[in-house]
Amino acid sequence: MLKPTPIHLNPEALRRQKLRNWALFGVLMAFVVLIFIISIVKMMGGH
Amino acid sequence: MVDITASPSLTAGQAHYSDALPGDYITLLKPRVMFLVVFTGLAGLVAAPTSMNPILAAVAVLAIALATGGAGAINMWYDRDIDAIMERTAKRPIPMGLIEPSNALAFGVIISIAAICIMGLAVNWLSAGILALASFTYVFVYTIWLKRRSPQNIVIGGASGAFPPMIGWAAATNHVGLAAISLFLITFFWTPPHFWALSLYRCKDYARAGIPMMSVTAGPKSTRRQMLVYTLLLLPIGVAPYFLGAAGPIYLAGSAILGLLFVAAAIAVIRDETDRSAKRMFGFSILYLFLIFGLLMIDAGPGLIARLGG
Repeated sequence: MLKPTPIHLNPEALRRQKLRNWALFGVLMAFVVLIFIISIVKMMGGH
Repeated sequence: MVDITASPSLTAGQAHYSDALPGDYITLLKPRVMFLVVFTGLAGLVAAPTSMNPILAAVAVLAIALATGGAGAINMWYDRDIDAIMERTAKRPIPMGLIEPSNALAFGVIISIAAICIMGLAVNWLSAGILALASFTYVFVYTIWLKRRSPQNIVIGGASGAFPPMIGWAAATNHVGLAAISLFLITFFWTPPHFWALSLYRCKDYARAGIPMMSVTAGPKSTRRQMLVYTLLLLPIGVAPYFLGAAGPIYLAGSAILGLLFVAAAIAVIRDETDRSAKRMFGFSILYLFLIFGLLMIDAGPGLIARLGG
């Protein structure tokens, strides 16, 4: 069975990966906040 | 062991997938197209003769923006081969090798589905349905079916870009009538002269990539004549929202003047067969769309404020 090849990122690639992870975190948080706000507006009878 | 090195200065195809920054994913969403689409969608929403919760209105605009971006990302995934050939598109993230094609596809599909679901759940399912139809038209009818097969690609496929004002209207009213259809028709008839102006001075680029744009298949002369026909058709369509009760006299006067200027620009393209006049026509077409939908919002402004106040 073949062993998976480990990938070693250089510092710049690692920095870019971290940036992407933070961006993804931000998008997910924004989505949660958006759903929360929509729920509140809908519960208050907004149309 | 694999070492992935990020290259500081990139040319097409030289970068590695690990080089992608969040901004590259934003580029996938075609932000400039998104801006124009959001603007027309907002105009439809504002011009609609009803009040809407401002937060839900913002959500509707966000959904239109996301669905447009998602469809744009899927378009970049499908067109990655021809994007690499064309000068205008060679620096997009996929031909540059910054984003893996399958990642771009997944990104586009997820965003599109999320946008349609948000629109349906938060606003109404009529607007979500039209939003889904717009995405379907852009991806399947325009990108996959017509773009590489027919010179009528942007005429029929242009319908996808014409839906947003109708979506905005449907989001506010949960109804689509003649007035909303007239807003759709404005962008629909605006699209051919807009894109054909671009294709006139990018003709070689399109020919090299094998895209049968009108200027490539029928030649520049025929394209220029057809551009004039569409601008003439746009003249009565442009003023139609006034006669259908969707706009007031400011819009009527402004849209009539803009329509005449658009016809004049098309005549100038026929008379002056240089790239300069085609570029001017392309620039004016963008201004035309902004101004005509801007006028629609200005005209609807006082009524909207009164409705919100009441």
